[in-house]
Amino acid sequence: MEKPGIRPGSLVRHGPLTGVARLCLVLAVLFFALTVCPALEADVSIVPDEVETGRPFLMRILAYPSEPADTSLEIEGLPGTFEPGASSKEKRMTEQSWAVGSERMAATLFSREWTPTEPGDFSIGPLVLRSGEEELRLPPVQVRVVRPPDEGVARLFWSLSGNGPDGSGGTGEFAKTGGVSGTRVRLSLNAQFSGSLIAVRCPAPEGGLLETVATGKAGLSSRGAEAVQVAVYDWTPLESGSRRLPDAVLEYATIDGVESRLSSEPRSVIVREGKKTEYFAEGARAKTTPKALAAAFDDAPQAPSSSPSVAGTGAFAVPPSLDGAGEDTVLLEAKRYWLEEKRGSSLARLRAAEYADYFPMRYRAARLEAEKALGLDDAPSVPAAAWKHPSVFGSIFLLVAALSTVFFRRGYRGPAAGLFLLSVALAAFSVYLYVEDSRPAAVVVSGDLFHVPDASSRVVETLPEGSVVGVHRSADGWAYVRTERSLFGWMKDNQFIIYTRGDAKR
Amino acid sequence: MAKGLRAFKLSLLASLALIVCSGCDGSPRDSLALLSGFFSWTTQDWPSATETFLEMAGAAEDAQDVYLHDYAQYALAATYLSQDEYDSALARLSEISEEAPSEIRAGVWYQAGLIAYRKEDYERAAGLFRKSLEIRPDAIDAKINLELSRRSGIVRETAKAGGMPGISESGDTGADEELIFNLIRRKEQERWKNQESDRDPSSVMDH
Repeated sequence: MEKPGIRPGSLVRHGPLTGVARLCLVLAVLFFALTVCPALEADVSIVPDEVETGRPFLMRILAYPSEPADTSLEIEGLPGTFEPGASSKEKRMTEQSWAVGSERMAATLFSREWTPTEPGDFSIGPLVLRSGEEELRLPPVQVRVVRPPDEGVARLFWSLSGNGPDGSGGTGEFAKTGGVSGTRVRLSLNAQFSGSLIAVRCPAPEGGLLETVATGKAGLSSRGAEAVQVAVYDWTPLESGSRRLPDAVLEYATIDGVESRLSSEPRSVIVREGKKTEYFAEGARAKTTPKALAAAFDDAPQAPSSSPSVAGTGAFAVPPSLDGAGEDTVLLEAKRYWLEEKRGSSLARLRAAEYADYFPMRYRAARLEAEKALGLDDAPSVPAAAWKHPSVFGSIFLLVAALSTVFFRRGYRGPAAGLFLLSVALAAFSVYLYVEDSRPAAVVVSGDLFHVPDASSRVVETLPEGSVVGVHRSADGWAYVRTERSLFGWMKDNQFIIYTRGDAKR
Repeated sequence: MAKGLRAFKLSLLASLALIVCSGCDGSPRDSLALLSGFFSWTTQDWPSATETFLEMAGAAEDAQDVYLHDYAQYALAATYLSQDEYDSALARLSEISEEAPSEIRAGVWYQAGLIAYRKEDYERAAGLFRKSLEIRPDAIDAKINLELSRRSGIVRETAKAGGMPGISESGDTGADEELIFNLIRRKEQERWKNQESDRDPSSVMDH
């Protein structure tokens, strides 16, 4: 019979003490695990909190416990719009309160710098940290990149198809060749502001149709650094010539919560004359166009068949009155200027003739046609200055006649009173003419209206060729003028032609 | 900046007044034109002032009168600067000859300093105000603006180096500017008092 005993290799069991020994063993293992070889962990932070385009930011990854020598960082995914900057790996001592028996431990601080070039939401990572044989995989870090605030800039402007984002290019087909009356053009309304959008308003302009394609929703925010599109319209100019784009207004709340308004920057484009059917020949849209709109096209001037406009150059047809100039030297000269595309000179010649002539009906008719072709329907009239002196002399003569009738022929009081009234009327007419002709007037040939007499100063307005300005002051080759829209500014004296006989220097 | 602006207006006014007084050496017609332009300038009738000074500049060129030309260019620059046309003002200032009277030359540097300050180029502004002071050491406006430029430059550098985004230091700047102003004013007053007290004994002795 086998004697009971201890088999070699087997655990000695001591009854109730066996459980305590197990517990001690587990605690010892845990203690060792916590104090001697804790698991690899990491903290990730982004500095600064708000990441902006064009400004570098730091991502810091603190891996612990680890020694820089045997710790590495791998970033598996990085946005292409992040330009890398400086990077570093440093040893740090970090305090971990939960670590039993050890208050400070070695850590590795990774710093990575990037400069984002585009705004948006991006993710960096996943991040893989390796320390010795340990590997820690961190999920991607989300970064929101915003544009830096630029509260100083606030503008609202139109851009045509093909223009640059700042709206200043004008390289689009429309800007190159000019639009065609009756043909729809897509206009984009862009704004640069700091705050959130409240509303966009754009009333229908004169001489054109406006259809809303899309408008920005209320609350659309902008940081002001770059323009954002706030609305898109289809604009159909109904008249040819230089046409002003619609006047839009944007209401927005600034970052401080203050409500503010922006008006669109004035901008004009050349619109060539088109066939009135062009607008209606665009499929389904023609069916939905109100009949009342067709009347708008009936009044549009038609290009004469004898001298068609030159497509693609923005040229205008010769007005019929100029075309049939005959032997009239003024009209011939005006026509020559017109054909040389010197519209301002042509109009100045016609206005000068109208100003000087006693019966200038033919010049007036030609001028009005030419101005209509250029879209300058509201141009001021030309004072009948030729009648200034005759009206004064006539008034004096009638007054003398009336007085002599009263003194020398006492029975003719009735006719004398009539002569006196006529004299007063003529005197009033002469006063009107002198007032009308008190300042020199000029036709703009080209160029901008400057804030001060210097070509590098701000441009108040770009005046279309053929528009009329009143010359208020002139000195040293510059003139202070007033436009039809009551804007004041300085122009070089070769930018306009004075057509009145005022005291202007040119 | 508000203080700086006030100093700017006052200084321009003082400069123009100085020019008008010193310009009286020329022909009566020129002096009258200068006076007319000066009055237009003080009433902020910019077109009229510009026209007058432009005519003066043209007449000076025709007569090849360098002094009158310099006065006219300076006055035009002051007029443009008042309308915030910095580049145009600089263009006029650059046409002033180096032989111009000291008050004009000091004014040129001063105005150029103002333009640099407005363009937030504080370091350059400080340098320009300093140059103005080298010509006219008693110009208090140039002193004030020199200190302001230095202060603004330091504030910006500090914000660049250690400032966190979103923290505005503009609230402190106004107080600092006020402090600088008061300090400079006090020093000036003390200097004047000292001059007065120095002068007193001699005047007694004279009598």
